[in-house]
Amino acid sequence: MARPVQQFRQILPEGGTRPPVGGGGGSKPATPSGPPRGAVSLSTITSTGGLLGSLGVLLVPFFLNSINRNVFAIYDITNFNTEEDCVYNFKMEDVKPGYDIDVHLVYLQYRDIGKVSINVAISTMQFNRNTGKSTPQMKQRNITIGGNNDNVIYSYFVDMKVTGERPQLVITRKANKGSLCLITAKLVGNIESGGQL
Amino acid sequence: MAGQDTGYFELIYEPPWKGIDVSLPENKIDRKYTPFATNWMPRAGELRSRPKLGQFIPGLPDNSEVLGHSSFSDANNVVHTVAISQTGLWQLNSNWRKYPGSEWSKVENFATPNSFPGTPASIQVFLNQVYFVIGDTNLYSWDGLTLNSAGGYVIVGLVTSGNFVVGETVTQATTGATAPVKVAANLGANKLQVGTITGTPDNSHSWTGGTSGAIFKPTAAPTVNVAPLQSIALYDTTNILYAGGFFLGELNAQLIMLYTIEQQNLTGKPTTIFPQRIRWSASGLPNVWDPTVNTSAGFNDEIDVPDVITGFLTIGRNGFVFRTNGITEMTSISTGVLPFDFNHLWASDRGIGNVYPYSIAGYGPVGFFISSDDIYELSLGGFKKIGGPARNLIFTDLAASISIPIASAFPAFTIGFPYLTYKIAIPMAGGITKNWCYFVEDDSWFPWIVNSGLETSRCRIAPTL
Repeated sequence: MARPVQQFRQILPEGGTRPPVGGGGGSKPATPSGPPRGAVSLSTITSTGGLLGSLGVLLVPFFLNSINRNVFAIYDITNFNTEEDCVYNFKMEDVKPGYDIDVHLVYLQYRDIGKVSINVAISTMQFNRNTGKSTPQMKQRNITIGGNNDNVIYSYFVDMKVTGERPQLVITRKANKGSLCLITAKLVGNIESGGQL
Repeated sequence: MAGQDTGYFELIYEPPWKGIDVSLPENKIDRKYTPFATNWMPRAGELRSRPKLGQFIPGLPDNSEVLGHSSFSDANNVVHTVAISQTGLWQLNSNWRKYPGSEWSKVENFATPNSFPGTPASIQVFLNQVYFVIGDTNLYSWDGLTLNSAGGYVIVGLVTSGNFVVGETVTQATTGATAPVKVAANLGANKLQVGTITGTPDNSHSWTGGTSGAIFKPTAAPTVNVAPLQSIALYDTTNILYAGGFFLGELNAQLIMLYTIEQQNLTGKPTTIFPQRIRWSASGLPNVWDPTVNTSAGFNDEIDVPDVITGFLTIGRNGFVFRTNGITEMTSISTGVLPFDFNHLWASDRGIGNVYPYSIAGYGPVGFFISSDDIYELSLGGFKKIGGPARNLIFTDLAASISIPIASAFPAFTIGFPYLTYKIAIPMAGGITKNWCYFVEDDSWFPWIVNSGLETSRCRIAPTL
């Protein structure tokens, strides 16, 4: 592919030749705009624009679909109210394989970083020995926790009874429903005394 | 499992939160892992909803796609935050918050459109300047100053006798000003391009070549040569041939350009792509690329291996040239004619290499890349597999990517929130980005879903004030 030699026109960057802003170290005096006339003065070269150099943040070049524009985004570490859904599936528990499990309590420990609405769900599989089929079961509760925003660790109990094999706890926080900081979760229950399925 | 009464149990889930595990069925994994999760951060033993992603700075005035950004301190110790787009180079204005709509100032447009639009820029800061390549025949540089004297000066006039050669010193009669010749000029040429001028020249007395004896009669005083944005990799000063490339790095005070794109000494100066070529500047002289001008500049073609270059990373004193199916260690051995030694760690067509060109990222003593079989961390101690129990799901998502996955490694999200992270941004169908985040201190993988758009280049920490 033919390519011409690059020819660059001399274009002064926008912002002209004003001195740098703030305490940026440019100690040389400003020069007038435009190319110098006659002999070149080689000792007065100032910076073009510039910053103080503080407040470094992680910039994310991003194309935003909603406005069809390229922007610079950041992950705001002062705001954990995520703009997307947050879903966490805990391990599916084989408490005692082949036995029906009763879960009757969910215990949560969280740090209060703001009010947040979450869905607490427990799913199991109910096996019918007669038909040989398993049916998924789920119980869920919507709760709102936090609100003091004091960074203190609090507890919350969710009474919820569900029976079946392989209980699994799922916590869902819908988009923009608050900042969640979970420290511990616990399922409490009993193995059914009825014996092997 | 605690039993207080018959059949009573408690199942406790607590830190450390180790992230995704799809290596086993969901009822057989360890309790510290999760078979499915989206948008969590496990820092300091707390499972937090991830930080909110939002616009911080509006984009460029022409809405061009950002191919990369960086920051550097110029020779006056002034900090510049710059962005490279498909159209040119921009810098962030210091009062951007106060003047909406004027956040970014143009440094300069590229003279010709990029032949590989959308290719992420490869950026290197070196000696108070920013250098970058964007996949064309240019290695660009900007020094942040008002006038970029790295391009030298142009003296308009006429060569009245002889032919000037590159590198010789020209002296002006009466004023005694001197300068080195940057570009050869033959009898009849109407301009003389020189480097830094010593002394105070005028616009009337003749310049004489110290080696060639050629004479140049000026009609004007010297003026700064070209615009702020310089294309500097002139690898053939005699025939005025430029080179660019896809990857850029620095080792042993020399700029390293890989997978080069070079003009050829033919009519029309056609371009040739060299996917196995590594070219380097002279030591300490990033503007000198011609070995006939300085013998420490040069190049090497990796033709003894069957694959192509997919990236470059430096750790300590060593450079690692990544290929599709192997890695070549590039070690600095001198500042002379042969400055580097090349040692293939894997030379076969079935070795550990980097298969995604922009998955290579590094911070300090660690680097990361994606091979065919796993994701690796590279350090002074060697290679370590880090895909772990999340590997299978990560590779499933990589295979579903609709465009180039782009990886970033950063030590913090902002000053005061350190959390070393390797993040792979995978563009998915529907205009969404699935980020796979490897949190190094927790050795855990968590996916972050962003439905609102696509990342266009690497994430970097940059000053904004």
